Amino acid sequence: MSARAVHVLFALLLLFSVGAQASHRLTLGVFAFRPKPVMLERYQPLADYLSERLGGTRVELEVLEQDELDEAVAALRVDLVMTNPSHYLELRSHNSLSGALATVVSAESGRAVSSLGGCIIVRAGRGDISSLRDLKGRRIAISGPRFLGGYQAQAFELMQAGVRVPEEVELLVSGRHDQVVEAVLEGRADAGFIRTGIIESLVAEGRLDASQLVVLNPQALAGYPYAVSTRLYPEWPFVALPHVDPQMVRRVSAALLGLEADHPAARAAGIAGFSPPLDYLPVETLARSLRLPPFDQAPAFSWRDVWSRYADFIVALGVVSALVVVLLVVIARRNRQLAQSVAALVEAQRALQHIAWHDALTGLPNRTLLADRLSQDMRRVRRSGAFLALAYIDLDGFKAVNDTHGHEVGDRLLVEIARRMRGVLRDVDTVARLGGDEFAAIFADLADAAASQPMIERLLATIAEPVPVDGLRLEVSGSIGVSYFPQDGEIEAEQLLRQADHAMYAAKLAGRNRCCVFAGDAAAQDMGTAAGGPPPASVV
Amino acid sequence: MQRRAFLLRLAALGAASVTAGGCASGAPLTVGIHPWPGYEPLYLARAFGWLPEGVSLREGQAAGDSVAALRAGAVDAAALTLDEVLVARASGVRLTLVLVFDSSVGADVVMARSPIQRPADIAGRRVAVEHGAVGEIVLSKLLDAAGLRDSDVTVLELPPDRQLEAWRAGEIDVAIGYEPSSSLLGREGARRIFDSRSFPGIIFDVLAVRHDRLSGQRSRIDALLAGHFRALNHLRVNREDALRRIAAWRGLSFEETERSFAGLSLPDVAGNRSHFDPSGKRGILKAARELNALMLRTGRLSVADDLVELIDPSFLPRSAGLG
Repeated sequence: MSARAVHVLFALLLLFSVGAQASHRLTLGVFAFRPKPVMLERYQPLADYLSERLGGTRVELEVLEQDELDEAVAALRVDLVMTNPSHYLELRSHNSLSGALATVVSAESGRAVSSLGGCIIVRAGRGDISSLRDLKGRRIAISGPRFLGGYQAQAFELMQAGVRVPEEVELLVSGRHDQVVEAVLEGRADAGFIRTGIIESLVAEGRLDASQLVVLNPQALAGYPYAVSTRLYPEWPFVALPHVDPQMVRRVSAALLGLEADHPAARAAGIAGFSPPLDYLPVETLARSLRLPPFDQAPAFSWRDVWSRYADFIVALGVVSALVVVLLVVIARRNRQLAQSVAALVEAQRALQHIAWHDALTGLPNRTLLADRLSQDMRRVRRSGAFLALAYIDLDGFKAVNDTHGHEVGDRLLVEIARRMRGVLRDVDTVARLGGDEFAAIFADLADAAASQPMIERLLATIAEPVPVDGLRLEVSGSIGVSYFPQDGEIEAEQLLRQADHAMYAAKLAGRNRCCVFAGDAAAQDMGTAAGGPPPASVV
Repeated sequence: MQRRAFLLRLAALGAASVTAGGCASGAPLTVGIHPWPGYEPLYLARAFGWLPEGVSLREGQAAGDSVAALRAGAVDAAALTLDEVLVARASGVRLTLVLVFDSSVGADVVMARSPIQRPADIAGRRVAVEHGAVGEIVLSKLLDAAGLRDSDVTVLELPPDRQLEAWRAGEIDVAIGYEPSSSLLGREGARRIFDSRSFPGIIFDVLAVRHDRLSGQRSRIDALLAGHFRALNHLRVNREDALRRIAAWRGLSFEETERSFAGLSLPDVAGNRSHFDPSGKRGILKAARELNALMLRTGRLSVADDLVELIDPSFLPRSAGLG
């Protein structure tokens, strides 16, 4: 016999032995929602019924606590499972269980129901708890947080009523429904959560007087045989683990659906048989909204989730932000434009002011600005105790230049003489064009009247120098009248100018190209000529 | 595509802010309603607190109450059959459909006395039918199926709730009605010879809103429809809980309630979309066209409805959420 043939034979033997073992025995794990002895008594007939219907296969019953059942499922030590719906979902998420084969139909006084719910009980005679909201802050006995009808259904209902569980209540975990009832009756808890049917069972067993308890938040449900405080959920599922042979699964299903309500096995278990599996989505929805296992892990959070949930808000925020940015840009731009136009205005105003205060031809201050400067200088002089001289200058022979050579030449002559006069004066002095060939100069801050004399002489000299224009050599001279400030008695700027004007006429009359000082109402003192005539004998 | 979606969102946002502002102080949305299995999701939504704030149901006994309230402006919307909507529109109440509650696929039933076995057998018989209601449509279809004319039968105007009495008194041979009356007749030995499965896609129950209230109540109608679909989902996945509640407030047994839904198709959001598809073969516009012709013939309408602004699917939720 070859080595390969030995291998094949061995594999066949192994397969046969596993198959034989599987067809001999199935373990049915049932969650112990009541004390184990009660459970064994109730469900052994069901296991026997299945054994009988499955022929050569024996179904062994194991009543297990929730944790034990978890382990047994994980280790594949059970083949069939009956447990509460939320525990089924939890098991399914860990062990990739298939869908339920069937849903339990429970029976109560001849009525069949395939839904369970939660019951909220308080001791009769307690007037302080009459609604779900009254449970806020109370001590509540529960069998355990993993019970659907014994905790989760009630927690969901309280959440809908605005009481957060377990945050806003005090939970007393009592282990089993029977003990929850005891805790409430003995006053160790203000209220208790038990699944539907418990009260009715205890009453039937003679262990409870129904009038001792009040059911909170009773639901109006037609034909539902149990007192109930919550909405209904599908009854317990009957599940086959994935390793069970599909052929066997079909036979188990057929046996379950074929169980009649009056069969001893059904009667012992207190059920009316099994129905085709119900939708367990409501339980899943409940577990999700309470963040119970297996939905207690926060799902991974992505930007896509954020977008899908808060898209409107994000869009609104984006739009508002964009709007703010756009407005800021618009404001900034407008601001800059405004600043520019303000600057332009200021510039225009300055230009206008310059035009208003200066002579267009020579660029010298005009009569208006001269009057202004004169007033200022007079005020300053009055305060400082210094002297001020005002010279009125008229060009001699300018009209002849104009007549002979034309206005253009005359104008250029004026511009040149203006430039020269400006050149020989100090910075503090002002020379202005009053109009035509008349000019005026202010000599401010003089120590005494005589200090003006060198400057006046320089003026006469510079005016008298020949001016070349277009190859011509033009010669004019100046007649200057001077008045001084301060004088005896008050005097206005205008008056001072008139005095200098008078003195200038005197200089013209005295032969031109000279300077006269105003000396009283009608007289003017000849100060001498540019050519160096006798110096002025006296001043005012 | 993305950009268009964004723009739409933007536009919706603008509209939302306008309506939200108007909403805070706006008048509430009142919906006229009367007992009918297809409308039960709205009652369920109210029981579970899933109706939006500012929406209330005004309960009447029959469709006539809702139509009168619509005309008087006492309600903004009402749950009605499609043919009732067409009649109301013909009388000058501009209504627009925003939701299909159900379509009849067997809920409207013809029960007949032995030995009547087929539609053709009703010739010369006394037929009970509710006047000015969906029963007349069933009668038309029944006569068509039988190849008969109106004059071939004796028509007695009798609403379903009074048919049992007349049946027992031997006054009628054929009764056109719906649950629970048809089951009650069945107990008396009546046989189902015809039902709306023979002409699906004609009898619709819808939510009709006064056209002048549509734009001002947009956000509330949106939320009302969301509440309806949430309750419909509850009815679907948590059937026993829902049916026992409905049975309790209707005073029926669980089994009777279950049976009352038997001939109804309650479309979810996707189903609604297909009904609102203007060119679809399950479309509500197609049904309205057929009703136009049928009701002109029977004289319930004197002028055909122009079908302008008859449907507006824009209030349907964008996706079906789970309750």
